[in-house]
Amino acid sequence: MNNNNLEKQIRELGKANIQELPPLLRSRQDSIYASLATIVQDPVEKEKKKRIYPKIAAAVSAAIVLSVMLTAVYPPTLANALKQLPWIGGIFERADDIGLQAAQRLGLITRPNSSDTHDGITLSAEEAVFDGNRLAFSVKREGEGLDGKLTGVTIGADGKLFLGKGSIMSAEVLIDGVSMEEFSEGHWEAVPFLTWMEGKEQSTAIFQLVDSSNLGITKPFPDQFELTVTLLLNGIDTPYILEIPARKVTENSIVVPDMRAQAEGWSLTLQKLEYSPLTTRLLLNIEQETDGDYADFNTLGFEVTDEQGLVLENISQKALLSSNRSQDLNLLVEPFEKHPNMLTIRGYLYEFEDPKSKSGAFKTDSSGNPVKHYIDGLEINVLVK
Amino acid sequence: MLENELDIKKAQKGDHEAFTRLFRQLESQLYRLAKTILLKDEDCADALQETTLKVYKGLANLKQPKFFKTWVIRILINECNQLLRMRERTIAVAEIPEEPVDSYVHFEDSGNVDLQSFINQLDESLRLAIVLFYYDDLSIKQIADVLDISEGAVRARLHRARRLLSKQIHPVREEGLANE
Repeated sequence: MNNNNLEKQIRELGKANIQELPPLLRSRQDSIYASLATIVQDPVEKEKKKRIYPKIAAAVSAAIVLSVMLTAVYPPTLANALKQLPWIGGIFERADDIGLQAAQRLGLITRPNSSDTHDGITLSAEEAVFDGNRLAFSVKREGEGLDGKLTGVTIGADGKLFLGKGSIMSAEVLIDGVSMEEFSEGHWEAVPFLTWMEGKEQSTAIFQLVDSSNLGITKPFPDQFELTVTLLLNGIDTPYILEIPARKVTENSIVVPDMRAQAEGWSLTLQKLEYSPLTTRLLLNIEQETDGDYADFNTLGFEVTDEQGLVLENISQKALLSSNRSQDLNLLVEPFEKHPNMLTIRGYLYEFEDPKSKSGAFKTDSSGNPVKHYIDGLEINVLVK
Repeated sequence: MLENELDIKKAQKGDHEAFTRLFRQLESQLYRLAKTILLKDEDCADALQETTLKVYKGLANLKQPKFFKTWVIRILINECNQLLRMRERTIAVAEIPEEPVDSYVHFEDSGNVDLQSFINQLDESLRLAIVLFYYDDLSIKQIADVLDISEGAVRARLHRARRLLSKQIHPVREEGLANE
């Protein structure tokens, strides 16, 4: 297909692809339109420059003063010197991730020593760790005149959101030169996911790439490989390329218990449990015992706790439909800090704000966390050696 | 959009019926765009709701009515990105496949289904460029404004998306013919 044909087809597809809003959106939009009469529009801003907003002005001044103070407290030479110390400057160490903290503590991390500089910005790969289940690496950005965060949108002094120059627009990875799609041999539903989140320090990010071979249709990551990361930053045409050598540094314990629990029309099987200092990984199979609504799967969640009842926070999960009413779930949660004798996996359903609905916003508690309805009996206790 | 100028001016003065008329015309396009980024209808509903409210509240400050559509799209994309950030930080359920193809599979022509499913598989940034340029008929400059990137970056994304699409379409089509 030449480009003209392709473009023509895409345009035609666009024309054919205009849809009415689904009922959920239709009713939400209609109620918003109905409520407009009660909403007051913002007044027209006149002489914007002369109208100083005291709070914003104060915030901006505070930010300037604070940045001056910080500069004074941490001049670049001192900051660089501090980063050499093992207990300061570790992006993993300060992450809200017990596994990454443990990796730092146990000396499992490597320094990729890879950076790319152009257009006045340097991106560098700072730390990496790989346990066969997930590869995590941290990235730091340095440069002048960067007003936004490295990841995501920034709230400006005027309270509006903006995507700053130098913020990450997209990221792609290659494993030994092969794209994720090729690596997964066309099984796009099980393509390993690259995700990233903001680091605790300014202008840092933590990336992770999760192996999804547990789902049985893609091959596992090799024990050792070279990851090539291509990052596109907002406002800069030339991408940044980082090379991360990945080597599996943990001896993982694997249990294949094939344990099962049944309750309230659900059947849960723990097919595999694997744990390392970085990650606890479970392969679960979930079945609906009667033909139900597949949408129910989207409201079903699992909580993994140690014997003290401490919840191991979710890192990642990928689900794959294995039959009409059954799905496999590759669930990654934090490692346990102290080796327990037993782990518990409990199933729960989220509740919706509107109890009659199967979609919409989840009901939340006073802290804003989704309310969980634990399914009595859908629970597996597995001994950990 | 110029023909809607009167409604925009009315809406800027608080005429909510004029605003509803205007917004209803854009709804389907905005939904498709939100779906391109967010995949889940529940999330699209949240993003569209916030966008509607922000646009209505801030409309009086839109200086030039001809920029109405791109302004709305820009707000929607910000809302979607904001929602994604929140989801990432709260519940790690984002990786449950939502079957994004579902909303498009009603085409009779299997060629179109292939093409649409390949578009759905593109990276979000490339998918968004395709939707804005080919589906929503925005110019390169408008897309650059909406996404806050350079025109060169928009061209690069479109070029890359087209290259990936033609690379993916060829083997599938050939395999299809061989099987027949």
